[in-house]
Amino acid sequence: MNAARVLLVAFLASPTTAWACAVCGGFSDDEKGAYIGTTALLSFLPLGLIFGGVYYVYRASQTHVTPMLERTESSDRSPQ
Amino acid sequence: MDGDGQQPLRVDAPDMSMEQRQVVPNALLGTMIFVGTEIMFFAGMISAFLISKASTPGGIWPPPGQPRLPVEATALNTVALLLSGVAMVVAYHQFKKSPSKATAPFLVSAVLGVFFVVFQGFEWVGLLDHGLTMSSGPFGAFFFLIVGTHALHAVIGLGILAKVFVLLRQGALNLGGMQALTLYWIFVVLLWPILYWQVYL
Repeated sequence: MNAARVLLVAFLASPTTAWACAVCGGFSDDEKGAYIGTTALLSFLPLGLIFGGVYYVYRASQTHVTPMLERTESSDRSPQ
Repeated sequence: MDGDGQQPLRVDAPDMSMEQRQVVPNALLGTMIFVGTEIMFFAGMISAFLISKASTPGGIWPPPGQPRLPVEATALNTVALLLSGVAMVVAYHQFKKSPSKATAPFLVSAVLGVFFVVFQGFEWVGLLDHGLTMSSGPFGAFFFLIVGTHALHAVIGLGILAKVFVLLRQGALNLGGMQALTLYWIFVVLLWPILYWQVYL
């Protein structure tokens, strides 16, 4: 059990030695930069696209709804 | 019950007290989702290309012995495609004022798009003559895959442009259709400088 704990701590403390991730060791700076850059690109781009699309639809709905509400309120105030 | 014993027909009419209005045209929303997936598709290819490029032994790219890409000529072609995008934006704004006024900038956009595709075709013939093919190595494989996929999108875009032009002339084109086409073409146009920067430079 103690040996397992020591091994776990050793892995956590030295990811480079353990090669625990794709860019932790054995690569040039260019390769590390490419891996990190493309990981960031592929992680954040879809989020940006989704939030951008939702925001566009929200803005479009606001520009349509506001005049509609004003029109409804004015018709409510008008004499029957 | 009616006098003749039949049940009156009940129609579930929409609630007229609530005004419903389409916020985003279906054509535009569908194109937005499609363009989003295409952006991710190209992002994946560019990512694979960047990692392959960075992993080249010695860091030399293009690899020795491979033909050099026509950077200056393609820069001219890039300008032509960007102008095509500008013409499409002008056509869109003219369409909002009066559809008949959109014809001229629409045609300019289409002609510049055709110029881009034809020019690229000649460029490909030259590169193939110099021995750059899909199977000549990672450089050729990535070049033809990425640039070829973009060219395919441009050709499909030109086909849609032709179809939409017919609708425009017939007066059957609505604003949603024009918005969808403009979004797609702007995607094709703005993607190209990124590919040019990554693949050619």
